[in-house]
Amino acid sequence: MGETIHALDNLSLEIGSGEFIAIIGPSGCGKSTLLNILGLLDTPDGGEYTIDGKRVDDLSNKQRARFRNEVFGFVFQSFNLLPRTSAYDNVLLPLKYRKGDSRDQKVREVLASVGLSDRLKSRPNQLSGGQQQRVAIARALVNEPKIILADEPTGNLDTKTGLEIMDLFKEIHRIGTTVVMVTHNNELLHYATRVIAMKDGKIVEDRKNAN
Amino acid sequence: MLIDSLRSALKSIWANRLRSFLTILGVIIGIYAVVTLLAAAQGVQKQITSSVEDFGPKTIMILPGEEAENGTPNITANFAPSTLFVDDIIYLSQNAKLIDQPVDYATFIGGLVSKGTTKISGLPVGITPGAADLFSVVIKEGEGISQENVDKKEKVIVISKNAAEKLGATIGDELSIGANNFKLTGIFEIEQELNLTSSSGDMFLIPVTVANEINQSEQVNRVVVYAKDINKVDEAREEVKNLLTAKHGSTDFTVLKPTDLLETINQITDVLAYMVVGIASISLLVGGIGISNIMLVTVAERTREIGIRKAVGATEGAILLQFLIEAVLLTVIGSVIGLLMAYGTSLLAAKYSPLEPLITLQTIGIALSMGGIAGIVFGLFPAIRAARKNPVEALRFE
Repeated sequence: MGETIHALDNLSLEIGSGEFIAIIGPSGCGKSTLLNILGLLDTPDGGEYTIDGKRVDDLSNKQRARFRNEVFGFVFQSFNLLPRTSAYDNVLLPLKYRKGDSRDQKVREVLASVGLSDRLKSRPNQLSGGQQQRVAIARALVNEPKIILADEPTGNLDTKTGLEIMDLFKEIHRIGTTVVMVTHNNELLHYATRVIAMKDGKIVEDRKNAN
Repeated sequence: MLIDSLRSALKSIWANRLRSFLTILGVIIGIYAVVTLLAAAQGVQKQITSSVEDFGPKTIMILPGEEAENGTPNITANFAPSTLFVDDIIYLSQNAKLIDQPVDYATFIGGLVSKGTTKISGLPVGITPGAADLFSVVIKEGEGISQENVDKKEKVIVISKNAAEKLGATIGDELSIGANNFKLTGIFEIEQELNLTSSSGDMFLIPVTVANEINQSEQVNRVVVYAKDINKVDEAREEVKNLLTAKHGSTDFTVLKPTDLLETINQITDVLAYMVVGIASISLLVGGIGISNIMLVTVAERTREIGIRKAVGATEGAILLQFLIEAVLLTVIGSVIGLLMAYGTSLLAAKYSPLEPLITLQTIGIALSMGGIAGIVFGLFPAIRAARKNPVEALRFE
């Protein structure tokens, strides 16, 4: 068979709480794989991963699911909302997989914070791309995660809408949430406090943004 | 969590309602077959049981002809000359200590019953007053056969309402059986359609003494005695059997306790029930494979949804449960539809046929649990596949 490809190769990275990190690099450089490993969606073949000093690379599937639910919020390029399901129910989804009450209040609050109070009952196909991404961001925020992982969140949006979405991320970062964003778009880098450039599964540049 | 899963399962089933319906058709038919057949069998069982219970627990019956090997009456003996005679009745009355007096009995005679030129066929039976109970008759008009009728050999006749309508006869009319004329003194209805002792068709009751005269013989076709003590029914039965055997020199008759028959009947209907459940299981198996198939399709179609759910924190257990609930809901809905259809059929059968199907709680329980179990068994594999999906690959799925 063909040669083994290392999507990530001997990569070492430390992310501080409250950072806004932009990961850039050509297609196939391993950006998304890195993001998936950070979010405990994917498992590396080897190496160590600690969150708040706790090893998380040897967790059971059940514990990983719990981490995804409580610590991370995912935002995808293609929104990944459940079809035929209202904005309200899409945002409610993460809350269904954890214990807790005042679910209704949380969903309404977070949808209001992304400016969609009046679209609770709308289904994805009744919303514009920007609105869909706002629902997806609301869904990522509803569990009050420590870290937001965004994989080209503006990739499917026009420039103007993309900037509106970026303003949302800016706000999310401002209130203290760590944001890790993969992007192709160099114009968005100024939102980040730190830029990491990757190539062939390796980090080739890691610089602080002075803003 | 469970309510959420139920709601989402219902939503998904509804979103593909035509496909869902076609999928559960096999389950519907399977459950329909089980419930309809069980209802019919249990209906018959109940009818027989209540007709037997009409006799009461003290009743002992004596029939002509040797007992069959399995302890049931020998049906063919009905067509031969009876082996029981009036002097057997007298002998029993005088010698049996454990039975009540009088000993009632019935004698069959042949012949058509006519009023003027209208003739109908049926079974004319000579009875003593108490023997009317043997045939579950209830007098509706006039009077039944009395002891006086029997003692004075009065030529009176009591017929069924049905026969009276066919003959256009009313109380006081003159009817004839062959060359003998009778006065109609009573009209009855038969309480139980299914009856141990009567053949189907109309019955005509006359005093037993008259019947013996017409037959020119002292033959007796049915004898009914009642044990004095409810705790000594079996002893009384043995006593009757021993007395008559000694008198006849052989046991050329059958002594039975009608309630004993219930056991045999219950055994038969139980075997029937097992068979029905067995046969229906095959159709449920076929239906279940359909469920497995469609659930695999559903899981494949919803791969991306599974990825999304996992990304926001669904555990493998939660995904498994979600799809399992969907499969079980499908089969349970199928079971309920099958049950309702069987209920409708039973109502129709009760109205337009002599059957009185009976859907018991037990049957409903069997139907629903068979449906539920089929859902679990056939939904498990697709659900496990859904739960094991790799979230990264699932999210990339188009």
